[in-house]
Amino acid sequence: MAKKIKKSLSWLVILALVCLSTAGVNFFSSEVKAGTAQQSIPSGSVNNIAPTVSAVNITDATVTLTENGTTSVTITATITDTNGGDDISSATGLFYLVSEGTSCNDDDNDCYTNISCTLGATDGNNKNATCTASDIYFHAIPGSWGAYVLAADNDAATGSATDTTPSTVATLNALIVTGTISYDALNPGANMASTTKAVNATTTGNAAIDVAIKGDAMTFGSTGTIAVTNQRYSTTTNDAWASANTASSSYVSLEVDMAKPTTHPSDAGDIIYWAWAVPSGTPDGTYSGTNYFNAVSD
Amino acid sequence: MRGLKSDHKDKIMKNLNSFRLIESIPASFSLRRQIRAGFYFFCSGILFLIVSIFVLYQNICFSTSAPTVSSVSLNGGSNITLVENTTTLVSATGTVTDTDGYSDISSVTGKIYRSGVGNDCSADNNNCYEDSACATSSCDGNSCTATCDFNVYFYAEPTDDGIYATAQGWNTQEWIAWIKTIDSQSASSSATNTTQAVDVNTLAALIIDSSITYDALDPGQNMASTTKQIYATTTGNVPIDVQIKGDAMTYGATGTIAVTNQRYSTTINDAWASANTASSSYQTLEMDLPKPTAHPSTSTDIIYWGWQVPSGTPDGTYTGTNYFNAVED
Repeated sequence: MAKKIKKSLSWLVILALVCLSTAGVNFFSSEVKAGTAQQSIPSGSVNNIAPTVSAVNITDATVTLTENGTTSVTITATITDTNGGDDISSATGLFYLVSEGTSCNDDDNDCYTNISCTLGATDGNNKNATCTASDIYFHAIPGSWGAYVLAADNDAATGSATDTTPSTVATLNALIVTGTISYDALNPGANMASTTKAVNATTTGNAAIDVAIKGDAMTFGSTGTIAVTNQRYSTTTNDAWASANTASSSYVSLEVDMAKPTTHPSDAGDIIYWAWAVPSGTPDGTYSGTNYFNAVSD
Repeated sequence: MRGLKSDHKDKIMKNLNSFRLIESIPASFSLRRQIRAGFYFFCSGILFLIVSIFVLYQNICFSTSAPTVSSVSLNGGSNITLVENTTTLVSATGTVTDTDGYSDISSVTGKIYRSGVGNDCSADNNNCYEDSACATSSCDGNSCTATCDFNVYFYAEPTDDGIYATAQGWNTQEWIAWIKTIDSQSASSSATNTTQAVDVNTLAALIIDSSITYDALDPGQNMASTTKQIYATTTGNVPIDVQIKGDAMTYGATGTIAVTNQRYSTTINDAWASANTASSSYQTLEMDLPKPTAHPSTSTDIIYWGWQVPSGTPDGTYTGTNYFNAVED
């Protein structure tokens, strides 16, 4: 009976609740009790994936060295890490003579290792790397040079790649000659007996060379002139005047066979010995002129 | 008792008539036989009187009255709210009275039961609980307060207006408290809480495994199918489905895998593409877990899980939290 009364009353209560809800007042609450929401802890490991390197490129297809100095070479690459670009931590570059391979040892002639790379901003899974070798020496062996970039992630996993289109380090024939020479003072109509005045010629390129030589007339004041042909030179010290090479106003090659340097400062050089003659009728005075030396391929 | 007293009166009158019969014996009998017969009748009458007096004394001085039960109440008249996966202490109280004094009350027993099964029900944690030794307290004069305690399991049948209770027709029933008392003479009586309508409320609840460990993956990969198991067990008193949501899985300060990279299914090895994508808000998974009927609950099903790791996800071990909520099926 009580149940029936309850059920009858419940309809009235429901009707009242509907009315109240219509009026914007919600007094209804479910009698059903919900249990406590349960929790589960999912876990899973994401593997570390080594970065990959692509698009390795030497900016200059032909690398032109700087005589007796260094040249900057830029290598670019794209580094990708599927753990996200932020996982890429570092990169280093290698600039190497292709024939030496990527396992070469550091050598300024053919292998430049540990080139510092700058990483760009993260772009998705990528970072661009720019590796600059600012110290490629003049004696780097000419030929086909490649680039290799090694990238590492935060877990020290590494990936690498080489460029598919190596660049060419161009041949550089270069030399320097030191200072000035002062010939023996002579009377007009006399000449030095032999070539005794030394000019040091040093190879400052990356190839063995000979030297092409020419000169201007030596002059004094406004009228005194001694033609360049009054100077002679030889690779032999104390070479007899008659045996020495006569200087010319146009380049003439001298076989000196100066070797390719292998280090810096250059370890490849030779001495050119000079002498002069003073033609009769030459006004007295101190004459000076300019001689030119040009490296040519041996 | 009054009937017994009338019987004794009849027997006494019958004996008096026997004396009158002796007085009417013919004179042809010898005096000796008459005296002997009279003596026997006299002794029998005396013996009968003694026995009758003893019986009367017993009935008058040692008579008992049956105890009574009143004011039965279940759970204070309130509906019963169960506790998931365990028991709830529910009490029924009543007043037991014996006019022979409360000390004559020898025992009190009680039951609570869904009205549909009746007070003759056998103990069953689904719908019928017994207390064979209810406690008495506050005894004074002829009465005591009796308290019967019942540890009601989480799967006791609901009688409210829930979906399951209505489907079973139990919403028109209620839970009844029945208390019986017995006195020292084995006289007894019982009563129920006739003025109350107490329901057992619907309880939708579940428990699940605490953790799952996914396969280790490379970024950009996903598990081919749902293989990681979570057991969901109903711990309420109605059939349920399961609502699921989750948080992002994280590692360190920056590693995050959105919850949508987890998927689940009620089918083992369900293909990744076929599974349900987890969400940050509750989504209902049709599981149709039946109502438990015993403890521990055997109403269990498995939810199979898988995950994927988006490209660009930093390496590490990620953890998150998934939430499971029971909803009445």
